[in-house]
Amino acid sequence: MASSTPTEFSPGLVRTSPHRELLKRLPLRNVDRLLLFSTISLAIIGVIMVFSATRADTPSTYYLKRQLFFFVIALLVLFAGMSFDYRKIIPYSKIIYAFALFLLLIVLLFPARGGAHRWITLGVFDPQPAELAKLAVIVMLATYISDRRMEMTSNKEFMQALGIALVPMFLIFLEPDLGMMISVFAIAVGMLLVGGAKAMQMAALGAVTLVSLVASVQLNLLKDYQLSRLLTFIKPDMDPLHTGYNLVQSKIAIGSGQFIGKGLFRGTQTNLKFIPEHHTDFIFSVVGEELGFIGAAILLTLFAILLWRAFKIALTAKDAFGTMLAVGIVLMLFFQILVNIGMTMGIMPVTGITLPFVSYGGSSLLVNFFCIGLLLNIGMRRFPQGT
Amino acid sequence: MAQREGRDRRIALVSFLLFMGLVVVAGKLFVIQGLEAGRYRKLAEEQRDTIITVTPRRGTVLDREGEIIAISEDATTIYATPYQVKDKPGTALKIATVLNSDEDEILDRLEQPTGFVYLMRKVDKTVAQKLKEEDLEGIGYIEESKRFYPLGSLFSQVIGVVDVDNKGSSGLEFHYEDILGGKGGEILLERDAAGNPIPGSEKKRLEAVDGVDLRMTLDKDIQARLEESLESGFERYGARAGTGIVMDCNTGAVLAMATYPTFDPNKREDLDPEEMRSRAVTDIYEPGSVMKVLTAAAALEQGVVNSGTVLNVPSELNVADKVFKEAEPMPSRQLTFSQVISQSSNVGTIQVAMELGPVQLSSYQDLLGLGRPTGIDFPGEVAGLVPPYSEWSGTSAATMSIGQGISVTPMQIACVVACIANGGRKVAPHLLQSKIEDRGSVDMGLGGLGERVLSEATCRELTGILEKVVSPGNTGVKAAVDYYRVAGKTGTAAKPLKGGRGYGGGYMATFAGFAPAEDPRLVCLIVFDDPSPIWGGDTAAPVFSEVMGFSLQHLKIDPSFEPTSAGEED
Repeated sequence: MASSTPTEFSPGLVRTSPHRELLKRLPLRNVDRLLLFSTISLAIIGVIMVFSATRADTPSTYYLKRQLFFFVIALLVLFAGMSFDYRKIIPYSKIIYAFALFLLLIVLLFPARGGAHRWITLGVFDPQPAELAKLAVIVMLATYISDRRMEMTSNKEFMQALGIALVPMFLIFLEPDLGMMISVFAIAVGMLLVGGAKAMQMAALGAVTLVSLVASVQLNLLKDYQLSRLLTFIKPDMDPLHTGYNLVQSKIAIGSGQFIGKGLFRGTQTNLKFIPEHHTDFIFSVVGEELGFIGAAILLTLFAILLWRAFKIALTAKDAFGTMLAVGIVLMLFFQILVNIGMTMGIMPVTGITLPFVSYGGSSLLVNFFCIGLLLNIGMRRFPQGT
Repeated sequence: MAQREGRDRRIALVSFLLFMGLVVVAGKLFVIQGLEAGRYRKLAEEQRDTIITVTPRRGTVLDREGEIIAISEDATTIYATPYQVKDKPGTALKIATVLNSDEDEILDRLEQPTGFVYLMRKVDKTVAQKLKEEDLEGIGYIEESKRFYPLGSLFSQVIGVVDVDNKGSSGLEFHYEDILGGKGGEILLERDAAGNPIPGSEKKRLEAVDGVDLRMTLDKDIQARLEESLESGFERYGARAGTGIVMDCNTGAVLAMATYPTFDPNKREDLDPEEMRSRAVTDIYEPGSVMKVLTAAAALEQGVVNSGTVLNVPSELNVADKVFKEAEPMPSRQLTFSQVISQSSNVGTIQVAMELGPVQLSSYQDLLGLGRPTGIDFPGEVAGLVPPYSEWSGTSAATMSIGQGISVTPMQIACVVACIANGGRKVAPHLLQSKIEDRGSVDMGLGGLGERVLSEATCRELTGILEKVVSPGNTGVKAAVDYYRVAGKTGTAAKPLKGGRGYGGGYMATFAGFAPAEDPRLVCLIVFDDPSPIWGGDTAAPVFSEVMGFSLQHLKIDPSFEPTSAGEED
């Protein structure tokens, strides 16, 4: 990948001299090209598939243009995520964390949409504080764990680390946004595991989780649809959410794609709108139908490469903070990937989680590219002296 | 260093778990796209490809003169693809307003988790057009045809009705379903999720075969006269029901067949099964004295008596363990056989029947078709209840000779009378005259005269006797028709109690006859269920006179030279 020279993806930045200075100081030679390649490939596949899924709408290029625009912005955001030394985040981690909690409190005052207080309505765009909270938890946990050099010996430290995740989880639960709460929990569990939690501590956490789950069902703490969502996961045949229709349509689309697919832009189920939300939640179904097993397998392979490179970066990072930050990011991305793809094939509950890099949607593309930027950042600064 | 190794192991564990997740996902992908792909592809095709049934035009039913009895009109069926309907309550309200139907019910259907649901079937085209102009999302239309009966309630039980799928479900519509119904065609279309056919995606096509038009032997005018006369008789005598048949005695062609009360087959929503039976073929009853015609025919044919034979008729007669009397008390008297029939003497008829013998009586019942369906081209015909000879008791011949202990349909009686009228040959009653196809009409060759069961001499003699029945001073005088010689027989029979022995609870009053006596053309039978007065001669006979008189004139049948019933008016 010779194309990873900065002139390729941000030519405008080379002209002014302060930026030129910045670029000179960046250890771009050490950028993980495979990670960059797989990320950009996924995003390009995403743009094409979003177009395929929405081409029948009028105007037919509305979603294509928007996604392309976000893709270009996302490349800049990715570069921004690389441009500073990631260790400079450490002193700000508490501020970031506190700001995220503040927003999680503020959001409860904003009017509910569909019964949930998830959005801060600004008008132009409506950010979800929980998205920031996810990143904040990753940063805060990475700081906390790296401060203890990745060996949390005492139960007290384990409890404190867990508390970092539990406070925002509770606020997210109040919104409520069960899916987001579970993803924060999944990230935290993964980071605690890597951060040196003992087997006994993890087992105790598992037991407590199970008990509180049963208790919340018994005490009617869950809303009906949340319970339904859990039930859907356990027994999809019951179809308590009436999501069965979507799921069946998704499976029909993927299955009928067979080995080589029906061809790009030729997915009948997709174009005939049998699949709902095909450009966002169910974009993988479109891939499966039009590009077949080959196309879907290529997509999974790109995700696997991404996973592999991300762990490589976690392993080779020069400090514990870099490792933990990388682990947190990769956990976040993979929780989304597995839940989303699993959902389209009926092995995960149907939730509103989109497929990173591929699904239509500006804000998630920007956040995910920023995270990849951070990963590349950690990776290229893996040598103690920079370069 | 030990710390770093522990950390690496834990990272390896987490990455292994995530990779396993990817492997599971890939495995599931392989199952869906590889192992189960065929099933999903089929599901996809089934969902996308719709076989649109092209409803064939159902054949028109005409009367013998080409008057339309039943015809098919275009109609529109409205359906929805529920998940395509975004604003369900709003859509339901709009549809309910245009169709003038229940909003909640429509909303209920729109909320079903399915891809297809009927909203309303067979709506008038103009109404459907109004809805189409609303341009509602997820609502689709299918052109179908709807059966229309322009004559309203006329012919109702005979023509029958069709179900919502345009298939005949009763009457002639049911009996001739194979001919009238045609064969549905098929168009294989790809459609989008909104259910709209994708233009140019037609794959295969099976041509629809329209139903064939049928011309019936029925006559609209005679049917109208019959139904009106039955209705006025029904009102006048306070009967439960009235049934009538007009038939060509030389061919078996049924010109009219009706039961009152009737119904309007266009108003599908309020059909009463009780009113839908064509009682002339579906209901049996004990006919009473009308059956004396059969007894007389057998006795004459066997030479037991002739019309002039004089009988000593006692006031009552013992047969086996039973005492038989006249309908009204009579002293012992001398009657000719002709008088026995024209005055409807029970005792005299039984005397003749006993002389004829049970074996002969039974064989003539069989010969003249009692206890067996007539074979008319109409659904639901019953055989009647005629006990086989082996089960007869000592009194069976006596009771059956006067029409008790034996149950028949009005059509069976009409056929017996027709046989006597045409000179002794059986008739096959039928309703279908011809199929009207593109190349012309095809006579279906139903009916005509069958085997000879009585000699012409017997029939001529019996006709003379039956003419006496309608002469002044006899039971059937009210059946007389101006300018035509009429022969016939009254019958008044107590209805047997349901499920047990004995009689009670009303009478069945019958008149069956034919005209012109010198060259018989038409048979007519009228029967009232539970009229008041009870007598066939007082209720069925005058209605017979109206219907027969009209029918003879309508068919332009030459009047008889000697009008025997000139003094009938009172």
